[in-house]
Amino acid sequence: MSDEPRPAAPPARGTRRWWSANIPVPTGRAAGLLAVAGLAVLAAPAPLPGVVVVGVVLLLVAVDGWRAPAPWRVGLARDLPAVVPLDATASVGWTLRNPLDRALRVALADELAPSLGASDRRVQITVPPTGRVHATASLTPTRRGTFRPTAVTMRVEGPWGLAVRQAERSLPGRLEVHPSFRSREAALLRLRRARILDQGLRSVRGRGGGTEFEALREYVQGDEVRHVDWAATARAGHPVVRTYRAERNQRVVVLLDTGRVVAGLVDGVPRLDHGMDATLALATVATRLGDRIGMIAFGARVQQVIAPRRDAGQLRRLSGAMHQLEPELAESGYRDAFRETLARFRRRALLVVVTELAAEAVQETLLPALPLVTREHAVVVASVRDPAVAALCAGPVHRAGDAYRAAAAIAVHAERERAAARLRGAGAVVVDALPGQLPGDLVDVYLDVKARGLL
Amino acid sequence: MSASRRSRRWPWLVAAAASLVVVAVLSAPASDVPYAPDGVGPDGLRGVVDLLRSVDVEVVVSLDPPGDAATRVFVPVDRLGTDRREALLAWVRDGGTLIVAGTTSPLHDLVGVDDPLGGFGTTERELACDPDGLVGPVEQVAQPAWNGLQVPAEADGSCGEIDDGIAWLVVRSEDQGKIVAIGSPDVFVNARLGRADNAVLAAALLGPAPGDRLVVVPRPPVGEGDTSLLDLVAPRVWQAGLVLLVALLVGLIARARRFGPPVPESLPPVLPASELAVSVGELLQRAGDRDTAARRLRADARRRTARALGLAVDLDAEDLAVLAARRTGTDARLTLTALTDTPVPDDQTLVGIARAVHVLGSRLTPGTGDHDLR
Repeated sequence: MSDEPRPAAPPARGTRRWWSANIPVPTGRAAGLLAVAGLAVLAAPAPLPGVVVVGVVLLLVAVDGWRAPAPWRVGLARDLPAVVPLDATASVGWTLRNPLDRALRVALADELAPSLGASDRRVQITVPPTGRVHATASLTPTRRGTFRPTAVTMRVEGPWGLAVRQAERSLPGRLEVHPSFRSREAALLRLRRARILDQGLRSVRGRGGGTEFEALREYVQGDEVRHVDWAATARAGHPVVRTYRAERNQRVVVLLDTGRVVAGLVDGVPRLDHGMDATLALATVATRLGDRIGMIAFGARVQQVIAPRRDAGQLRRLSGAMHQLEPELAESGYRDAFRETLARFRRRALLVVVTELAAEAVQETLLPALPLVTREHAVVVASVRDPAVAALCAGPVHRAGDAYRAAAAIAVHAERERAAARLRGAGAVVVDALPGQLPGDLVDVYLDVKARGLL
Repeated sequence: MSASRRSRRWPWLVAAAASLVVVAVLSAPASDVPYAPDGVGPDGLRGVVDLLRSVDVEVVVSLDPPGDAATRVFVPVDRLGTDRREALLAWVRDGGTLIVAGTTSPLHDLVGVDDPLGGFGTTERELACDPDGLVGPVEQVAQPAWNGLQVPAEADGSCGEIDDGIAWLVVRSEDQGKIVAIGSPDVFVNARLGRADNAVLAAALLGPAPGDRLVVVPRPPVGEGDTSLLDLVAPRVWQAGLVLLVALLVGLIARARRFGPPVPESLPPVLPASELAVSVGELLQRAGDRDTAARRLRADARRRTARALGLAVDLDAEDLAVLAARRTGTDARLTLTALTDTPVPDDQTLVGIARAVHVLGSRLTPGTGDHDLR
């Protein structure tokens, strides 16, 4: 629902803005009229003095500009969505109200940042006499963050279209572009699988099977014999098994690294955004399975803390907290982040450190800090692997440069593997997966940790 | 209307305008030329010619001087060359009467003074003189610019005094003939012939009696005298050009005002994560460190081969190469190249090693050339 279009207060008389709006500017149509007049001078049977012709046209331009209403008299409202996910498409709308009893041609230029991917930042609208018109444009943001368009430039044409009056109208707005949740389908697929297992429709114990007693039901072929409730079987006269569900109200805390190591682009997207996608996938599954999930975002210092919750709004809270995060060009402070975690969350939890397996960072900062949390919590280190490096390792070799690059990529990859091995040795579970697979793999690990009763 | 449709329309508009200009230029009547004896426009002299003919004055348009001294010659605009001027002056010296208009003509050899307020409307001025009976009963004439001529001491007479020693009309003798110099020919143009006593002056000065002859000297053909190619362009084309120039300026003004300010944005750094591997590879190449590159390629190939074949990772490289060749059906020379550390004398050898590693990798994982990163 858009706001009521309202006129604006005129600028103070004699100010630069006032003059700017009151001096009419000729349009392309005025130039066209002059060009036609020039051709008429050329082709007229009787000579026409050029100065007189120019004077007449310029007089018409002045009269047209004088007849154009001041831009602040036209009612204007902007309809901006509050939240748009990255890569999704939304629409921005403008509503105009004509104060005159004749049609009005108005052009608008909104202060929409290029990253918002507006189909039209400038629109031209004809508003009927004393009527309202609504125009829209689509937005396809290409960058996360908070955008605050503050003004709209309005250009009002005179009745003959020979002159315009232009002024800037203050119209503050706010739009949050939240991280993309590309792995939603993968998360929902794993959630369904977990629920199927949770409900005991399949007897094979697997991920999401759980250990918390839920109900009794009739034995079906494939159920484990150890799940048979003999007392209930004796009472019922036929085999009855106990079903279990995954434990609920457990805690998951995502430690999202925003340091320099996550600034690089993988598949055209910063590593940080891949981490956010995985965080959202984990949050989707965890909250729907009844667990509490929270987040600590940290770079050199802790930036954001979202307390673990399990209600449906937690996904939105996490998304809202993440949307303004940008990679810092600073070393990640794992130790401070872990201390903050220990201070805030004393109950055992699954700590998911979403970072990059950069050899130096792991060796010098993460590994020394890891013992702080591995004693109290189950720790998973998640990282996105760069397919471009894999392509360099295994790509065809045509020139010497290809061979050198392959050798360098292999070294980078080997260092990464060594870093992962050291983390595993320190008691962490490492998830190192390609961009499209990271969220699913991370959710699998979470379900596995739950199923194994490690929380 | 989309920008592409507008851009498609532009060439047609330009072509149409250009065609119109060409047609207009080609069809422009010659009578537009100012002070032309046949000019019917406001600045033409057709009115004077018709007036004189109506009082039985024979008017001839010619660049050559007449054969007799009784005929008068009128030069409304002196664009003549030296030869023609000399011919005219020779005819004057033999007793002819030359009426020449304009302040800069070498024919009268007088110093001209242009009217600084000329062009701002037509004004009338009293002549009140009749030197040598050339002007007749003229009281006032009307014209837009009162350009004057310095009156020399030897002048026979002058009319229409503008300032001290400066007059609009000066008469002086040249041997047996006379030269009548006037400040401008505007007094005789079609638009002003009916004003004040302009027609009377024309009749008295150019054809005082029925049966007289007058030669009007037109502008010489292009290329002769002071004429140039620009004289081919009709005045209406200049006028139209002026209007079109203003149209262009207006168009530029219309486009110049920015519609909405630019929206600044501070963007995060953009650097592919694989840049490190690429840069290290380029440094290796620049340093010519083939041995390090080959060692890395082979070590990785040995690790992957041993894993794929279920062998110990620390197995001797030559043994591993023999086993790999046997189990994958690969040429033993290729597996030896890929897996054993031999010297790398040049880049071509390094390329061969990398290719051997690549082939071996594809044999170990048929159907893919992917590097095993798991």
